[in-house]
Amino acid sequence: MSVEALEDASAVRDDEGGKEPVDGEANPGDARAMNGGAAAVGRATEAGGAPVVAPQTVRELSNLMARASRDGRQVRFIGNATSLPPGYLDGPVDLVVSTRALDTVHAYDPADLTLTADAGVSLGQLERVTGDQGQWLPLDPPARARRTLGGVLASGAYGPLQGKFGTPRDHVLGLTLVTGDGRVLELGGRVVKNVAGYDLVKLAVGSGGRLGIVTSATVRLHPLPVRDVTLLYQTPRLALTVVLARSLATAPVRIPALELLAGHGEEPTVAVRLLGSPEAVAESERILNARVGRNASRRLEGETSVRWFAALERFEDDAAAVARVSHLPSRLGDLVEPAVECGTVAAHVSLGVLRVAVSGPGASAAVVSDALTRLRDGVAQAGATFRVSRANTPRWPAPEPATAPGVLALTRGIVDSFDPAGVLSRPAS
Amino acid sequence: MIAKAPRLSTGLAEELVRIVGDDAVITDPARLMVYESDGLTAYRYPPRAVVLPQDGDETARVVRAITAERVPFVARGSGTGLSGGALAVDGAVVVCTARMNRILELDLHNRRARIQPGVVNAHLTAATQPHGLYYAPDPSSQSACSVGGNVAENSGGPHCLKYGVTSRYIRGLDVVLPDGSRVYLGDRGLDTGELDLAGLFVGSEGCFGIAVEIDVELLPLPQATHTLLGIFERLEDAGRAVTAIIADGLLPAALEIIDQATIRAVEESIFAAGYPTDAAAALVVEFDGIEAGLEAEAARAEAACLECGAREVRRATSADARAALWKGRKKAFGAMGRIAPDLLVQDATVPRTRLPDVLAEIAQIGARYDLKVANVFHAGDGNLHPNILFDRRDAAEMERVELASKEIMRICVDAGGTITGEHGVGLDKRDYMSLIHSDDTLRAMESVRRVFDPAGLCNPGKVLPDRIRGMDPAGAGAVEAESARATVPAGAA
Ligand SMILES: Cc1cc2nc3c(=O)[nH]c(=O)nc-3n(C[C@H](O)[C@H](O)[C@H](O)COP(=O)(O)OP(=O)(O)OC[C@H]3O[C@@H](n4cnc5c(N)ncnc54)[C@H](O)[C@@H]3O)c2cc1C
Ligand SMILES: Cc1cc2nc3c(=O)[nH]c(=O)nc-3n(C[C@H](O)[C@H](O)[C@H](O)COP(=O)(O)OP(=O)(O)OC[C@H]3O[C@@H](n4cnc5c(N)ncnc54)[C@H](O)[C@@H]3O)c2cc1C
Repeated sequence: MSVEALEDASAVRDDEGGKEPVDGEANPGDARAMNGGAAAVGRATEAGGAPVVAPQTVRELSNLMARASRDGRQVRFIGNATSLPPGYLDGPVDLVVSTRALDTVHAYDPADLTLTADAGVSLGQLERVTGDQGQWLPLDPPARARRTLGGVLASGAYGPLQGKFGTPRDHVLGLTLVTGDGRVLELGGRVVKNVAGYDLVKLAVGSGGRLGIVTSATVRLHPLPVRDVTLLYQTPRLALTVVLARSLATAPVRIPALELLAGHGEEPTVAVRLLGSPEAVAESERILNARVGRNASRRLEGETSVRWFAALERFEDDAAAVARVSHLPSRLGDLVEPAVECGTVAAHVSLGVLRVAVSGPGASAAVVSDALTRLRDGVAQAGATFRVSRANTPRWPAPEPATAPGVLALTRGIVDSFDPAGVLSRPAS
Repeated sequence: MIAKAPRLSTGLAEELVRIVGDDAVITDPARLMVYESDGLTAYRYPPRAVVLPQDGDETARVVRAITAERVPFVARGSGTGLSGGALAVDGAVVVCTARMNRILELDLHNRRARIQPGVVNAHLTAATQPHGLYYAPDPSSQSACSVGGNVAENSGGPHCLKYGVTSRYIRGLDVVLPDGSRVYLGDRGLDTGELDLAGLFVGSEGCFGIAVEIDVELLPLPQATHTLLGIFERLEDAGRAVTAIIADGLLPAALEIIDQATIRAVEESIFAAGYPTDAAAALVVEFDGIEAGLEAEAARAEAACLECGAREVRRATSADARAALWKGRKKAFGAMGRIAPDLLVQDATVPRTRLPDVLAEIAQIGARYDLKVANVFHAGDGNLHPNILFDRRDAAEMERVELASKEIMRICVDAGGTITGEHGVGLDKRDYMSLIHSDDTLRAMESVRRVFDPAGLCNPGKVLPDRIRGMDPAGAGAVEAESARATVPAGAA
């Protein structure tokens, strides 16, 4: 999506002089009142040109949602606004809310390895702040650096490092959620162990903007590893690559990141990232090489290792569509073959999740949609799940298998309780 | 005071027997006594009946039969819970998973297991160890507690500092909902784009339904383990050592503190572990993983302990020697049970850096109320267990225990912490929930609970304050909390 800036947006904001709009205070004829008191900073080119607002306080956002809920106006959330789920801005949208003005790091206590920041702070910003203290948030979703903390948590996006550090749900200690009807819920807390009440944090993480908007979060940090090594194993044949990858995955070593890359006429590659003390990394390397009976084709260390995996974060950038396919990790071979027929593959080997990037820019909608359908049918035979996570085409195949009725009923009930007026996007039915 | 349970109707009793058989329905009051409390022995609620189904199908039919009569029910695993979560408030029927103790499938290729909920935590690791795998979450009660109970409480353990708590290891859950229907929640690994309902169910304290099959993730056994025991002259110094070790960029598998009161209890018991009784605190530090490099990490941790004032640091690498260093930690609860008639195991988390001052404040509170407080806890996570030793026959002392507990919770919350790190809210801490959550948040929790349990029949009276649960008149099972404080000696913990 792109946002056309309103020329006078900054002027409008200056007018406010930092005063928080109070519910009921604005003149009903005023365009701002329509937006719950927030000034529009632009207009979405998708979403029928709906105004985009960037509230500066949680209070402002809460008022805005309360009003939208009362008036039945459809609201969608964006972080930095490009990795939206397909179809997210389709249908009538009255208002797009951006978190870009919520961009402060509030509390960072290196000794506690915790940090609290606004939703609009990008992971790139966090990297700079924590890197100075020798710490990091080991979360590497596609396009990491530009993504907002709120967007990543809301979408549950993750990358290769999940092999050791888990997905966003495992990094978040607490967050603030403004619900569809404007309630401000402080969920979880700031300490690393907390079981006080039902775990609504897990519910908010990965909810894709269906329950409300994340305005800030507390995450758990880790010390930066002393040694960072990437091993690249290449083989001419895909089938051999799969065997090698599985063999590494079942080695008696915990591998932080283990990826299989294939397709696009390039030599299939298994990439292993090892992190830790120099001694432990060297020993892991020895164990892994012994297990597969060969040395890695290439070995990268330090900055070059970091850069190799940073480049992999751009895997989805130019794709016309990205599908995610998953199964038990041991079924990798059954999925890779049909996947390379349809696009370029990057697989999280130990998790059993494949990302398939279909065509480059400029691929026609028909071509993309055809490739996705072939992929779905191919992996469905193996009993895998299939889902399109991004598509630049107006049509894409529905997830497979469809959500079970029991899960759907629970999901609907939960979504209704957070967004009683139904002003946010609804779960697919 | 002990609450009295209503009797099971004849129709329901017959129906339950039809489903699970004669020997799996308990209604005899004498035999029901076993189920009237859990690890938190201060409360007693005799259940209406206890049913022990063998599998998911039987559980579904049992739950359907019970709730069809608008009778409440509560799941129970091994009954080691420390917040009263499994107690049969409001005359609930207990559905106990003790007979559902089979490992259904061990998938070595994918490092997963599918198990029944009554499998004892340590049994799962014992079964997978020969294959080089283990189940990481290791509550100190692991030789008794069930994985189903761990799921309900999102339990932690000494090694959760490095490996994370139960929720990290649950891939999916086959759940019987309160209406008797069955639904599979998860698999987060399969990347479905759905709400994380399995993550929500973990830690829901038995209020959302009964987990009847559990898909867990296993880890490869660490190649080697190094253990250190630091002996300190001051408790605060041990707390500072914890911070120093973490600040050095080290990530031990475990960081556990045992204070003087606990050390003395252990050394005076049959579990004597050889900890010096004049020491103010002992700190267990453990590193595991690839053998290479562990030695260097242990040396850095030792240096950090010495810098923070440790008078001695012992080290061990062999299994036996390590077990000896751990002994004082592992036997702490058993030993404490012997030096006082009653024990209240408290549980709260504070930011790790606040440990030294919070520990000092807890000591002051203990002194002010003239109570013996013994600390043994997961220091690396900032997860405190200030255990209050008392004698329930002394009414005045009981009152001081209440007041001191409340103050301890208050200072932990004021330090930026929370009211429970791993034992759950259950019956015990409902009224502390408002110390950390707004009414809006509590109501949001209640709304979610109602999605799973619209009739309010599943583990009623737990987690949320009555004030919040009372907000909605629909609750047929809405319960008056009869706080039956105190009566049983502490041995159980
Ligand atoms: C075709 C394409 C090319 C790209 N190329 C690049 C590139 O070259 N370089 C690069 O760095 N990045 C690139 N990206 C990625 C893109 O810049 C980032 O993914 C985007 O900035 C991410 O925004 P976000 O994660 O903040 O969330 P969004 O994409 O804005 O939103 C994701 C989901 O989360 C929800 N959401 C967002 N914020 C919140 C919140 N606070 N609370 C609740 N819900 C929320 C949304 O409703 C949506 O459902 C590309 C993406 C695409 C699709
Ligand atoms: C000496 C001692 C040490 C302990 N150490 C620790 C520790 O280190 N870390 C820690 O976290 N805890 C610890 N505990 C607390 C306790 O052992 C854990 O909470 C444990 O997970 C409870 O398991 P259980 O099988 O005994 O559950 P129970 O006590 O039987 O039940 C606990 C809760 O789980 C629910 N439940 C049980 N089974 C199911 C199911 N199948 N589906 C849904 N709900 C269910 C019950 O309704 C109840 O609400 C300790 C307890 C003792 C006595």
